[in-house]
This record gives sequence, structure tokens and C-alpha cells, in this order.
Amino acid sequence: MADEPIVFAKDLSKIFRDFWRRPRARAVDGINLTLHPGEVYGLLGPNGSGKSTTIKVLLGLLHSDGGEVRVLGKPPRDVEVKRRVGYLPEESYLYPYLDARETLRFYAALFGLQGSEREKRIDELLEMVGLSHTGRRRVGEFSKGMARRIGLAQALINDPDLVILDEPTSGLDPLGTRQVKDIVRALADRGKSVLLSSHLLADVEDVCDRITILYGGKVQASGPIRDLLQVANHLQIRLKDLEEDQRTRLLDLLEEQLGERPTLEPTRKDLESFFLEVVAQARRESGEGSGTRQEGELAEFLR
Amino acid sequence: MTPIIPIYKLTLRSILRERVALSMLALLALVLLLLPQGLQTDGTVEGALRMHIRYSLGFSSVLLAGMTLWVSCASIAGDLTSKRLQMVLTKPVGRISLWWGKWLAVVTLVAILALLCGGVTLLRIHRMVQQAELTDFQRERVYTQQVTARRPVDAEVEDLTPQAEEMLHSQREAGALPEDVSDDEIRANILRFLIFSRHAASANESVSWTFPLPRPLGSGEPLQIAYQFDGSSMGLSKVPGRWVLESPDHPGLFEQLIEQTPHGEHVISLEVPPEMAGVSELKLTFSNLSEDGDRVFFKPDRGVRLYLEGGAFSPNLLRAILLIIGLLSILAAIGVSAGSVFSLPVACYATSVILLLQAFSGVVEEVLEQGPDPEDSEITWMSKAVQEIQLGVFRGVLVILKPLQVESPLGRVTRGVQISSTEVAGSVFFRFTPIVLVISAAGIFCFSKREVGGAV
Repeated sequence: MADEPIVFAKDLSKIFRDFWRRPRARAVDGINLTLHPGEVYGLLGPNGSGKSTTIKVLLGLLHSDGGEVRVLGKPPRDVEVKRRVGYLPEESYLYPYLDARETLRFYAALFGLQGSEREKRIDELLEMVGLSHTGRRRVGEFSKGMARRIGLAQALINDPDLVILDEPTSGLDPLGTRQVKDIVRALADRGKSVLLSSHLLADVEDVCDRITILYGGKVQASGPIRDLLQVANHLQIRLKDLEEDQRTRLLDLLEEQLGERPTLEPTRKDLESFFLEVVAQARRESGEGSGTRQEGELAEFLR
Repeated sequence: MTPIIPIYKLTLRSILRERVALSMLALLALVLLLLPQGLQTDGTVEGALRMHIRYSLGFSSVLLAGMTLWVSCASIAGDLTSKRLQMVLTKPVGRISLWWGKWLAVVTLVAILALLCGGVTLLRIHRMVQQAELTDFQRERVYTQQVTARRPVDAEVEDLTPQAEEMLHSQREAGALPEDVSDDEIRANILRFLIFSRHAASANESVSWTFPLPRPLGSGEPLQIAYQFDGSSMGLSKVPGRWVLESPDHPGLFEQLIEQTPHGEHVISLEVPPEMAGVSELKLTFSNLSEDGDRVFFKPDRGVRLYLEGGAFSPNLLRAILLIIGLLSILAAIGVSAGSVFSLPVACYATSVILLLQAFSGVVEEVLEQGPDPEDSEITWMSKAVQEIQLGVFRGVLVILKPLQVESPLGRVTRGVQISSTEVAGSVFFRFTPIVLVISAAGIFCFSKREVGGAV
């Protein structure tokens, strides 16, 4: 069905038990979640709030203790579902003795990808995450950021319809973070669905259409991000190149109309934009450093 | 492409890059290359060959078993611990494919190594025979008697049950048996006594066996009489006696006097005389010539055998290695299953215990045979209950271990006894394959219930 949600969870619960099956922790407690095609959905919450557990239940790695879960219309452990899902765990658990290309080859083979199609995708993904130059270097020797990048590449190797990213920007530098966000938006623009969990609020705010905030395994707030962040009765006026006398006259006018004198603050760049500008400038002047290179464009097969 | 293949390839690569596996490989190379240099032999080529085959292949097998145990347990348990399985199981890979991919990789590796060990041993044996200072006749003798595959022929088994039944009834009628002991128990004891007596000869008496031959004998072909005394019943004194081999139409064709200690297997080699050619049955008789009144006991189970010319040594060694690979494949299945259910240390421990129990299954059987002491009136009900539980556990263990008990392939190769292709095929299809399938089904079932990536 065209309007069938990509992910559907109702009253989802997960209890961790000890050896004797006694409950030790209720990690997820009655969560409802619906993710539609082309949507970017954020799961927010502090450590231990149940984000990763929810994701693992959706991936079929953990069994739920209650509620209903459907992913792409089927139970999460269905092998056919897994064909259409890409997953990046909270840490990239890679085989340390493989190099970047071998790693991607292995995961591609699990999807049945073969020959030139597989090699083409691997080339594009390595280029995209800036690891095409690592050659025979084993991933066990990679920095955390490089491992995250190869983890992201493996999550996209099958051109998935649903991408689940657990803390995708953890360990990445701001350039990598920006790129992950760009990739997420590009995937959503292509109609793919993305479910991401993070406690980096700025990342979520930049890319998500809807969010759910978890605490103690329960949903504390949920909805479209614009609605949740809107402050009632507060407006913002943005003006460009205002002269000093124009500014004074404007404040006078507003004071006269509103009965109180508003404050004026200069617009500031956010730190991420500033950092990206500085690094781009440095790159133009002194070339590439060691480690990752400048990320390429989105892989062609993902466009 | 089925996901078994990438899992299989990755597991092989992983094993080859594991430090433990690499050190095992190094040890294996040491055993194969250096151990034969350090062996103390009796100075004969036969002795050196026996030692070489037994120790090189014996140690290699132990190392291979250890390696199989480790890599099979680590194959899934290691990936679970390192959380790499979280990445793999979110791909379109069923747990069945994962289990079989891992198992196949382990079995491939140990099979290659076992064949390699066999190849190296074979080369060394031929080199030893070629380099030894022997006459052509002696060299020929080594090849026909030791570096060979002799076909074992067992004696006709006499059904002693009617005799036991008759004895039971006559004893019962005579009132010579206690009323509180069951007929079954007495029948079993009588049967045991009869079997034992059937393979014994008192002083100046004889005992005979009949051997139906699988094929007519050829004139001049090598034939061997192999016998083992039941040393535990006979002490250390030397046994004087005479062996006579004859066919129904030609009595007393071969005769040999002996005087031997009752330990180990003894072999008399002869060439089939022309009169014996073409016969399809042979009778072997042992006469006890003791002047001290000693009774001689032979092992009831295969204590006396004939060996006919069977085939070449190399294919026999290959068949023995195939049986070893079969046993290792069962061990690998146990290891992979244990690793998919338990953590790595627990899986290794559980698999080692099974391996040890298998090695000492004879002791387990003895304990079961003895059972609790019925005459011990001091025993409390609590101790009785504990004993019963222990025996129950032992019975359960034996049920699991029974299919793993195979007459030592290496022992047979060392003694130059043929392992038939029928036995290998039968073991593969009716023993190893069903056992591996049952273990895999149990392992995969438990693995499918297991959660991956629990937070606590």
C-alpha cells in the first residue's frame, strides 16, 4: 500500500532481564512511532533513554516484550526487510583485519551484489566518505572518525529504502558531520526514510522533519520539529544593512506602537558555518592533510 | 549468491589472522617437522615407523582438535562479544546461513590441515623406509606388514544365549540362586561368564576359533594372526603355547610355538601355503602348554583376529584422515553451537568437557556397569538419591557420546589395519552427517532465540 508507514511501532516495550528472567530494567516503555516515506525522523534523549534499544528492536536484533512492530510492512526479523534497510550502529563494529574496500565488498556480498556493479558502488561510496585513498590500510588502524565514515558507507551500499543511523555524527569532525547531514537530506529528497538517533540537538534540528524525545524509555514529546520548537507570541524580524539612523527611527516607531522599546541584536553566524568556511579556506591554501580527504559528492547510485 | 559464501570466506580469513589459530598452526608445523627427530625408538625401522605414525599423527590430531575447539567456539561467540554480529545480522543474512557459513569454514580449515599432516607423514614414512639400511627382502617385508593396509577378519561369533538360558533354568530349579536377584541380572552374569570362558584355555587344553573368509586366499599372499591376551586377568607371567592354523580339508597347515608376556597385541606373520590357497574358512587353535597350571585368557572382543592383504597404505591413511575429519566436524558443530549460545569462555569450557568425557567414555561406561552397591546397608536415602542422580547424568552423557565413539582410526593405521571405504562412507552418511545435522538444528534454534546487542 502506498500510504503504508515505513516503520510502525505501537505500545512498544522492552525489558532487560537477568539470568533468572527477573526484570532488571524497562528500557522501552510503551513507545508509539510512525515513519512515513521520505521522512527524516529523529529519536532524541539522554544516555540510557531507550533510543538504541528501540532501534535494535526495529532491526530485529532484540525481541520486544510487548506491542506491535512492523518495518516496511513486515516483522523486523524478516530477511526481505533487511534487504531494504541500511544500519549504522552507535559504533562501527568492523572486522579490523579488512581494509576499507574489503569491508564494503563483504557487506555488498551479503546483499548479493556482484561484479562491476558492486565495485562501482564501492568506488562511489569510498569517494563520497573521503576514504578512497586509504588503499590496503586495515580498518583496525582507522581513527574513530574514519571508522564512522566506513560504517556510513556500508549502511548505504544496498541503496536502502530505510536508513537507520544510531548516533551517526559521533566521532566525526564538523566536516563529516555536515556531510552526514547533507546525505540524510539528499536521501530524504529521493523519497528514502531516515530514522536517526542522537543527543546532538543541533544535528537533529538541522535535518529532521519530526522528532520524538525519550526519557526513561517513555515518549516525553513527539511531533513535527517546527511545531515543537515554535515559541508562542514571539516573532523575529530580520533586516539587512540597516544604517544607524534607520535603526534609531525603527526602534522609536516600535516603542511608540508597542509601548515598550524592543532590543536589537546583530545577526551571528553559527559556529558550524564559521568552522566550515575557515577549513574550506585552509584547504584551498594548503591542500589535503592525512586521514580523510575532502568528501566527494553523494554517490551516483544514491542520487 | 547465498550469504553462506561471504560468511564462509570471512570466517576463513578471520581464523587465519587470529593469533591463537596462528600459534596452533606453528605448533602443528613443529610437531610434524621436529617431533620425529626427537623420538626414541627400539632401533628397528618397524619400531621407528610405528612411533612416527602414532606420535606425529597423534599429536597433530590433538592439536587439530584443540584448534577446532577454539576457532569453532570463537567463530560466533567472538563476533557477538565484539558486537560485529550486530552489523552482519541487520543484513539479509539468516541465522541458519551464518551458522553453516561459520561451520563450513572451520571444517574446511581443519580438513586441509589434517590432509596436510597426512601428506607430510606419508612422505616421511616413505623416506624413512627408503633411507633405512635394509635388504630388498626386508624392505618388502616392511611394506607388506607395516606400511600396508591389512584386512581384518573376525572369528565367527557363537550365540551363547540359549546356553545361558539353560544354565539359568537348571540353577533356578536346583535352588542355587538367591530369590531376590532378578533373572535378567543373573542371565547377564552367566552370559558374561560364558563369553569369558569361551576365550580361555586351561593348562594343557585348547581353544579354537573359526574364521569365515571374505574371499578365497591366494597362494603366497601375506597372512597374519593377531592376538591379545586379557592381561588384567593373567598377571605378568609368560605364556607358553602353540598356535595351529588349518583349513577343513588340510589340518595342521601352519604351526608356531610361542612364549610371550600377556601385554599388547602380538602378531605372527606367514605366507599362505599352496595347500591353503582357495579356502573360504580357516580354523585357528591355541593350545595352552603351561606346566604351572596357569589359565590363559584372550580378550573376548576382537582378542584374536586374522589379517589378509587389504590394500595400499596411502589410501588407508587417507580414509583414516577422512574419519578424523568427520570427528572434527562434529566437534566443530558442537563448538559453533556452544559459541552461539554461550560466551566464548563458557563455550570453550563446555566443548572441552564434552571432549574430555568422550576421551574417558570408557570410565563412564564402567561406572554405569557397576552401579550403586546394593549390599551397602549403611547408605542413607540422601546418598542413594545423589548416586541415582549421578548415574542418570552419566547415562545421559553416554547417550550423547555413544555416536562419537569410533574405533581409533590412527591406531588402526599404525597397526596397518585396513579401514574400508564402506566404513568411511557409512560413517559419513549414517554417523557424522546426522549428528552434525542434529547439533546444527539445536544450535540454530538456540541462536535464533538469542538477542544480539542487549544493552545490559
